[in-house]
Amino acid sequence: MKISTTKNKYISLLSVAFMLIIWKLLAIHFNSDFVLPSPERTFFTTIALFTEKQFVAIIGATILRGVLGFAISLVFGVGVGILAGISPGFNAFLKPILVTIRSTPVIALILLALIWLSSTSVPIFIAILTMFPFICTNVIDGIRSVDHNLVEMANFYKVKQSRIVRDVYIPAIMPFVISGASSAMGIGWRAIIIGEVLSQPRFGIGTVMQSAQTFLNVDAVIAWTIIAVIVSYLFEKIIRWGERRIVTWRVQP
Amino acid sequence: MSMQINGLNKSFGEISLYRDFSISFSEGTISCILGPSGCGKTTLLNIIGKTQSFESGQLVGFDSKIISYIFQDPRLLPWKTVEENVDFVLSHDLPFGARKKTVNRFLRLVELDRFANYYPSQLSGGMRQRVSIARAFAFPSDLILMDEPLKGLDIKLKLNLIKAFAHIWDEDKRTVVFVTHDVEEALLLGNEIFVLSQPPVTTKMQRVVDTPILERSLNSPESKAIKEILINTLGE
Repeated sequence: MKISTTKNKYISLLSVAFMLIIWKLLAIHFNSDFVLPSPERTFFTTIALFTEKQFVAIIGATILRGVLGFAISLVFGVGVGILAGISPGFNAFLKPILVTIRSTPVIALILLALIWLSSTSVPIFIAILTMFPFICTNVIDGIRSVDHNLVEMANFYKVKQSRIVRDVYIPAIMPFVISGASSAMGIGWRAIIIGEVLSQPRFGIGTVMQSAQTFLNVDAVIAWTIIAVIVSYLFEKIIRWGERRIVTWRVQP
Repeated sequence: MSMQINGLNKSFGEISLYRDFSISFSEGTISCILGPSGCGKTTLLNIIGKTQSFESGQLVGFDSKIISYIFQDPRLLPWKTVEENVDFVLSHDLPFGARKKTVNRFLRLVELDRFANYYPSQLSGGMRQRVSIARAFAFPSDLILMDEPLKGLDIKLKLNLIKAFAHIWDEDKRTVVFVTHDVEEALLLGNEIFVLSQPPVTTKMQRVVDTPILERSLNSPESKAIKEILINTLGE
């Protein structure tokens, strides 16, 4: 087992090297920093970003929007999801709404949000609209998957309803909540950055990407992209870490 | 004192399962209900546990009874440890210390005290069922209903669990109604054995076994004799 994990790690590293080589070859081919700067130049630009005066404010603003949008989606997603999972009527009511939100192109939502909201709140609004359905659907699936026999057992033993929710339903849906949260976060960051590009709040990764693009600073566009990928990756790690802390009972025999 | 079911009528659609059926269980004993599959044994337990309705009939002496259950599957919460699973059914109005004492006592009786902090996924099937036995006894019930808790287990495991059950019951002589289709289980555990027929259900035979539960053996002449009678009655 251990051997194959290390082996897979090498293969993954190889894949990264492969992408860098393709990039380098394309950069040599186009031979222009305005089309595609070389990987090493972009690397230095990325490093230079960290020392930029407003760096913390820029990524801080984006992360804050992400966390805020995520927290709101999580609270509503779990709450609404539990209700829909328990009540078939409410689920029937909710389904068309979720389908509509999910199938509406993000860009359409952004264009409308630009009319309705201030530039700082547009990305948050978009993040909520993209993340909420994911978490909600997962919670509904989670509630449905709750072992009916366990609930019956608890009812037979006259366990209080509040404890059945706390000790049977909530732990059972936890893995579903986490997997929903993880896919939601992945999509959420993209939505936030698109939102920032179009709404141009004062600080934000999307804001600076847009201005770099306007001035044809292709290396800066890519550098900020790399930063965005790192942010997204770190949050994915945090969620997985949280999963290991919460779902401790899933031990192998 | 006894608990009685008098003149029970219960049907499913066209099929009349119970027609004017009566049975009586003595308190502080294990009553074994032995019958072929599909003769409505589980239905009888559900009627006693008040989770299924019936057309007419009287339940006498069950009114204020608190009931615990041992199911065919252990029904443990996978995210709770052995100890927490037993604690789960206890009223949380009781202080933690008192609950803990009860939990420990019954886990010791099924010889799982060393595994108190294990999760169900770390235990074998037989150990899980022992947790569910401990849970049923830890719950302050007057009556334990068992619905074929040994079904589908291999013979070694079955005997093992019967031993665990006999041991815990000998310490705490609760009224038990035990439903099974297995003659040997009935022989090893029942103080009183009822053999039921196909629907409409009647009691074909009722037999008291006097040997103390811890001294039972399938090889004793008495067991062998009763076994033969039970098998013959069942097969009729």
